[in-house]
Amino acid sequence: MSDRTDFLHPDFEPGEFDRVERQLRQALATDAARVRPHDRLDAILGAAHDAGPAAGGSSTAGRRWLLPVAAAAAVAVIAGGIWVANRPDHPPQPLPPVNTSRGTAPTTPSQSATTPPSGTSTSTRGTGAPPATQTSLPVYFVGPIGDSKPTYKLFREFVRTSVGATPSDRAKAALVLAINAQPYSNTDGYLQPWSGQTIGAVRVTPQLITVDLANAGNPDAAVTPEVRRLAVQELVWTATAAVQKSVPVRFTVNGSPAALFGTIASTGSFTRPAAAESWRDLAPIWVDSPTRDQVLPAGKAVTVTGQATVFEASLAWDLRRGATTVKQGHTTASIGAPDRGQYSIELGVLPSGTYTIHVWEPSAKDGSVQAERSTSFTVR
Amino acid sequence: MAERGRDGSVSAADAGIADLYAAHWTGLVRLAWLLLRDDLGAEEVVQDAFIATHRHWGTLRDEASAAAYLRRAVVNGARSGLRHRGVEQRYTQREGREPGVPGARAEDSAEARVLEREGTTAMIAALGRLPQRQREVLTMRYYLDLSEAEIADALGISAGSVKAHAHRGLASLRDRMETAS
Repeated sequence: MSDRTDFLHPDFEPGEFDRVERQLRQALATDAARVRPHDRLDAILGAAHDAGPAAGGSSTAGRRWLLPVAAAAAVAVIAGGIWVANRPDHPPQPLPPVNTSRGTAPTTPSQSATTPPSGTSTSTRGTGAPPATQTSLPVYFVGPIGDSKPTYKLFREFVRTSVGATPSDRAKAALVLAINAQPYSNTDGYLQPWSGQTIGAVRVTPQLITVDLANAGNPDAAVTPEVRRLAVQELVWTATAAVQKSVPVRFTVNGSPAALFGTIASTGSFTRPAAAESWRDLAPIWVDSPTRDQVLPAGKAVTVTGQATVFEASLAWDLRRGATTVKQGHTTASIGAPDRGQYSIELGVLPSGTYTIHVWEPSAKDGSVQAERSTSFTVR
Repeated sequence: MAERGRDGSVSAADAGIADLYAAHWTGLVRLAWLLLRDDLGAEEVVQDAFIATHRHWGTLRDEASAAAYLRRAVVNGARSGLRHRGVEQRYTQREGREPGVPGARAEDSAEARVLEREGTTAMIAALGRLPQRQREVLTMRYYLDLSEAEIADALGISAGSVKAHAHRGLASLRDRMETAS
């Protein structure tokens, strides 16, 4: 059957479909806004690297993991786990990404499991040994937001590690990373409230994540009530991110309820705060992309993206190369506090070099810094 | 270390994909969902489309052609997803989670009420009864605001056909909505 007879007729009245068009547009927008896609950039890049270029055949033998850390890079549209009312233009993502697992996986993932069981180098794959399942997991840490007090909140890092196939494996792998903030303590001032902790069994059901800890937490490692609360929340955010479900998290210590850090009863369960209250947990400013120490190609415009919960959505930034301020400006997030917005900063094409992007929330009152975040990256 | 095609290194493809992702991921997942009505399936389809685009990066001229390639892959993926409906089952088994509409959460009933009030449910139901082609054209046009040429490219049909499908689809929708109200 030819379509030609169905072309819009010349006598077709302008505006004939105005109403139904409007209704349809609205219906689609409303309906689609209920869909909050998970972030999968990392999974896409990981799978693309596995598959190799179209012309290159299907074998992954000897293929290198070219961007071991930066594979998590340029995570542009992630809003770590925030349920927000429908806003089609800036839909925050409920839960950050986890790669679909692939190949044989260690059954007890841990940080040290980044080396495949056979002992082959982590930078090569498919050299005869079963491939380790490498992925970048979103992991939350307690860090200073950059004000003068200082106030502590959660930051998110993407950490490459080796994980098993099940949601429990993923959650455990992420939690193991979360309790070790040491790699970031010198550079970012992250606290180490879980120093001396060991993650035991992690059980994931559709309704609940149960995490067993080896001890209740050292009160001396988390001295204030707020840091203790955040320490628990960092595990909640990390575990729920790993399984991509915003379900409650329950903690046990050697199988039984206990008072975490001696003060937080673990008889109940813990959840992420509601979207409008994500500021209770999350640092006001995150830089998602470039990621820490990412290497970006020269000749290509650099865009900084991140999330912010700031007054009037207003952000200031500067770009430094060594001690020199190369560029500076202001930008706005997609929405102001208490909601969490997305922001982006177009830096244009930059000459080769190492840069630090510094984003902060100026005080409306006196211009002092309310919160800030810096990330270094290299162009070459 | 460049194992990629003539367009440059793997990082160039990664960076390009990251840009495309930032611009199109959410919209395309939602498009795929509107076509498939299966949220995990929709993400799978779009993820596969991004991976395919990454693999063909060296053959894509610019971001516009990459975006066009991506859309074609999504539409085709959604279509074969509809044909097989295997995605859902596979995922259900793997993840041990329930298929169904997104947001099987506490606010569902409130959400449903809002949808009902706005006539969204009736319209979406009417859309769902249209032939596949009309549904695809209308969804791309009125959800993604794609041009006729872009829709034609994504569906592999002529611009004239796009117009025709749009017209027929809108006429059916109008009739059904008028009957319903």
